[in-house]
Amino acid sequence: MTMLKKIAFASAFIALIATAAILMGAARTSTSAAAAVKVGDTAPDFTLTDLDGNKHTLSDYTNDGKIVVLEWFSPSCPFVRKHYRSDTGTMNKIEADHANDNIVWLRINSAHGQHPTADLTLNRDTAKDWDINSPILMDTTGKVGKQYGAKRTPDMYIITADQTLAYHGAIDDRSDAAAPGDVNYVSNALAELLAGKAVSNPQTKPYGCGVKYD
Amino acid sequence: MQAQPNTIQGMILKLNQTPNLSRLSAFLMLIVFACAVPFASAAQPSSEKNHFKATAQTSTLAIPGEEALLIIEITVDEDWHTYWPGINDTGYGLSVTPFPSEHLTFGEPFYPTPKRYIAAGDILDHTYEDTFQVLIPYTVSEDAEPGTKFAVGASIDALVCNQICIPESDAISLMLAVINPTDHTFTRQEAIDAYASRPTDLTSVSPKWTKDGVQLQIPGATHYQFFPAADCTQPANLIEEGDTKSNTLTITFDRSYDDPNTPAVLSGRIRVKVLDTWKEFNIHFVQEGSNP
Repeated sequence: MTMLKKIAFASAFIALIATAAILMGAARTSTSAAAAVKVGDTAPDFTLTDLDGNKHTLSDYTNDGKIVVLEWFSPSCPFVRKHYRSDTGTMNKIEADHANDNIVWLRINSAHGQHPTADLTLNRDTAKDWDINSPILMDTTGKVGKQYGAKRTPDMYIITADQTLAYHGAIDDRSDAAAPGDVNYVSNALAELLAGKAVSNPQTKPYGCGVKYD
Repeated sequence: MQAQPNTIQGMILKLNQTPNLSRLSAFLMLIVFACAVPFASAAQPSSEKNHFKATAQTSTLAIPGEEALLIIEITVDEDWHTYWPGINDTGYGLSVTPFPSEHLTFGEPFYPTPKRYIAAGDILDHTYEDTFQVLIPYTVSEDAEPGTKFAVGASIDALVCNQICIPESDAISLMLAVINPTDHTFTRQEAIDAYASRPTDLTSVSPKWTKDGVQLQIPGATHYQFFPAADCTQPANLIEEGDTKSNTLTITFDRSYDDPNTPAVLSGRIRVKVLDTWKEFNIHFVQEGSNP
């Protein structure tokens, strides 16, 4: 190989590496930007297993005409706990208010499998202590949480029967861990959807503990 | 201020180890307790149950009419962190609130610049770890009588996290003696110097507002870090834009959380590298030319 050819080969190799690096960077950027589902988008389908080993698939519920509420959940997070105290009971009250409506409430725990809050016994005990009767789904790989861009517990999503994301954000308007807020965004959004209206406040700023993906 | 470090006449008290005890109750307990306990010469740690420990000191004794500092030193347990009182993806911000005093007028607490912490799932928080100080300036009233003693202190509310997060609070205080201006006092020069060199407000440059955000260019800058305050319009991509090796700080806003017809606000603290030296500034710019 002549020196000229060697230089040409080396240049092409460097260009190839540089292009690959740029593409990888772009892919990372676009992945992080595209990962989070936005209000108005089709909600990504998923199948997750609950604490009793039963599988739950989002599209099974939406095909059945149900509105689906997703609550990113942690049994140890004070922002979650404040909504399950006996003096608050925010989540269970909303669920109970809509017991006769075509709504299903799914809690998703996306803590990685080795994290203490992913322990099945802890989740079962918490469900019992907090009177949670609907499924807690385990997402220990974090795949579904990352698809939805869920960063906090509780992070709330409402999906309509046509599997469109209608609401994403906080449960209410008080972002500390002491007490629930005065305005419950999820309750208001569900009332509007059940009345056949669009959600008037479809995106609010979520608050809570970080989802323990790693 | 004269340096005389061994004449401390302060006393540190620990009061509130439960988040539910009101600040008023804590303060009243402080007064009662303070009257019953003799003076001590050194700071004592606060609650043993918390995952942070706090001590209170003052930069000098109380000289009528003069400004001094309440120094709240906080040490977070190893592998735990707490949060900058600005915009974070998770948690809530540290709050240090001085107790009201008839003898003192408090200024704004100075919180140190935090660290950026990025967790899996594109979660960005601005955090404090290890030991740091929150400095609160105060002015002693002109009519404070030399020889009198009174309590000065603060409540601390923090969310501390490692594997799990726990809301914790504390209330710490010390007894402060009023002295004559001619009397000797100790001086905690390190804190005074830290407060004197705190970031100043950046007024020498103006930002350029764009369709989606704002750009800020400081002459000679090659690297920016941005820590948004609580009143900043929500940044859209702070993981990348909040730490950028560039001659321009570009912040894109996400207006889905507020009214996009109101002026955007660029507010917080920036670290800027100019000629290989980091400088810090406070910034607060309100969008011009908007149609509120």
